[in-house]
Amino acid sequence: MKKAFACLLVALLALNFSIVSFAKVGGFVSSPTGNQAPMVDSFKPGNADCDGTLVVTAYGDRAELPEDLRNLLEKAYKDVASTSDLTKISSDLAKIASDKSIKASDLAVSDLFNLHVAGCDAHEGHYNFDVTLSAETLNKFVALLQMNSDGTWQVVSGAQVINNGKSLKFSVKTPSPMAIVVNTGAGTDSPPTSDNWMIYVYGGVAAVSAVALVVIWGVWRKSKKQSDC
Amino acid sequence: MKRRIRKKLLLGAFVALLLVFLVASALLVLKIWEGNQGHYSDPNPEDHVFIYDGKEYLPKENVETFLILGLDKYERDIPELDSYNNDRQADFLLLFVFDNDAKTVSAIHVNRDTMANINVLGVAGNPVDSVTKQIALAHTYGNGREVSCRNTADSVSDLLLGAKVNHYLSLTMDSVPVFNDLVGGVEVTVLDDFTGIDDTLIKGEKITLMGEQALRYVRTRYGLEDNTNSTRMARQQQYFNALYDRFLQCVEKDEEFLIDASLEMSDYIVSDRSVTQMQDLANKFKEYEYIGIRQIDGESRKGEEFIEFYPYSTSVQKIVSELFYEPKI
Repeated sequence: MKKAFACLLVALLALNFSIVSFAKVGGFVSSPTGNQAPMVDSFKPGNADCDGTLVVTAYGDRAELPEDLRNLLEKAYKDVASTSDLTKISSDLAKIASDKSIKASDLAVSDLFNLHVAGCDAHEGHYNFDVTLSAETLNKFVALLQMNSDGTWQVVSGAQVINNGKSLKFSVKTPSPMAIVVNTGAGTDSPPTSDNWMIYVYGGVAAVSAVALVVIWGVWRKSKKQSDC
Repeated sequence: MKRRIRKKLLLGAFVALLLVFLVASALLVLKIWEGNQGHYSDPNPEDHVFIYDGKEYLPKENVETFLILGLDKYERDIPELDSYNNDRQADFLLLFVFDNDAKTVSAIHVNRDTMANINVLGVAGNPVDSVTKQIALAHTYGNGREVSCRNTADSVSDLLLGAKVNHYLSLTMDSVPVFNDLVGGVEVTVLDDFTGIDDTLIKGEKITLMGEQALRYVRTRYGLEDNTNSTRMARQQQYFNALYDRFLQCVEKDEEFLIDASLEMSDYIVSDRSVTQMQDLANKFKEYEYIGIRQIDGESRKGEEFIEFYPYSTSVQKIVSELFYEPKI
């Protein structure tokens, strides 16, 4: 009993001094290799006969696209990059901004990419595609814009952010260039300070040991009273 | 007898727990005190008084900074079609601080894995959000050139408590062998064991690095016995100090060395300085006293997936107070 108790106390002391050493890194841990363009998490064609693959192509990778799709994506880029008021390219977006009391000047496109279906010849009759896509800036999401083949823009209705702000779920009939619109005027979280968590650890250890001290003092007082009796 | 043993046990436990409580409390108080250091006290906004270690400091008036970014890509691999984001990370970050009154130049070597506040840039090139990530990734937002350099400069400025980053110059990896050979090679004592990676680099031996050998020396991490970024940074600082000496020798011999070198390396460089303005900087390097490279202390931890470096706030405050401020009289 005495040995076990002594071991427990030694472990508690060691834990207090070794918190920092748990944070030391061993072995090779790589550094990140780049920020992520939007990625398709899942997609489901409305028609079970469709065996195509939904391909997302970031604007920076547009050289990989066939010429017609690349031209459309570049037109989409010119439209969004050259305007300071996105509500002018889509009246649907203007209505959403008005309903949510968002200033037009606070709207910006955070990501531009192309969606197309590869490997399926007859996707015209394949109804809607249900898509879940992950992107970086969804915590300020306002709307998902889609460029039609005639160069006009429309809001993809029903697009919603899920999975704690990490994914966007929507449904489209004809995949095409798409733009994620965010509200730059929304509040931002302050970046976490570097080592605040240590304060909680030290505070926790101090609190636990204080409670243990009170308990031991209580037990000692009780045993003293019993011995006096 | 039993009671005596029990009494001794209780006493022992009490003493041990009291010790734990006192140590934890002392560390807690220290952490809270550290966090309260270096805040701006601003009774008069125009004063910009900086408080560190109980003393007041005012900003130095004549300080100029120049950020060097080493990108992790070869110039030949950069796509011709640009975009609003890219895959070029700033694997090497060195901020030169010129004190034009004291005629000194210092440098701050920033760990590429430093967790920092980074602006996410949208399609139009404007900030749409901010994230906390490794500072090397700040360059991946933007067009991979001027916009990305400025975005990285903003993150470095934020890391250094608002110290302004005036100018920048980015270089792709393949510029290292070119500049290395332009100065006639750089002599170092090899710090690490490169067996199996480059058998010409023998630990402990002095060697004049030439061509791709120089790039391997400053870039390699994976495959080495000690593969941390901190070890690589030590080699980079060693190489840089030796390169700096060689560079000064070249500038002393030939006044137009930097202009010629800039023209030779123009394909690898992005900068907001013209060649003539770079010559002004070269003159400062020649005339000013070189104080050396400072490094921010901190702690590396494994994040969810990648390494994360957390700088100690006291280290940042110390470096900022010494290079950008002077004691208030």
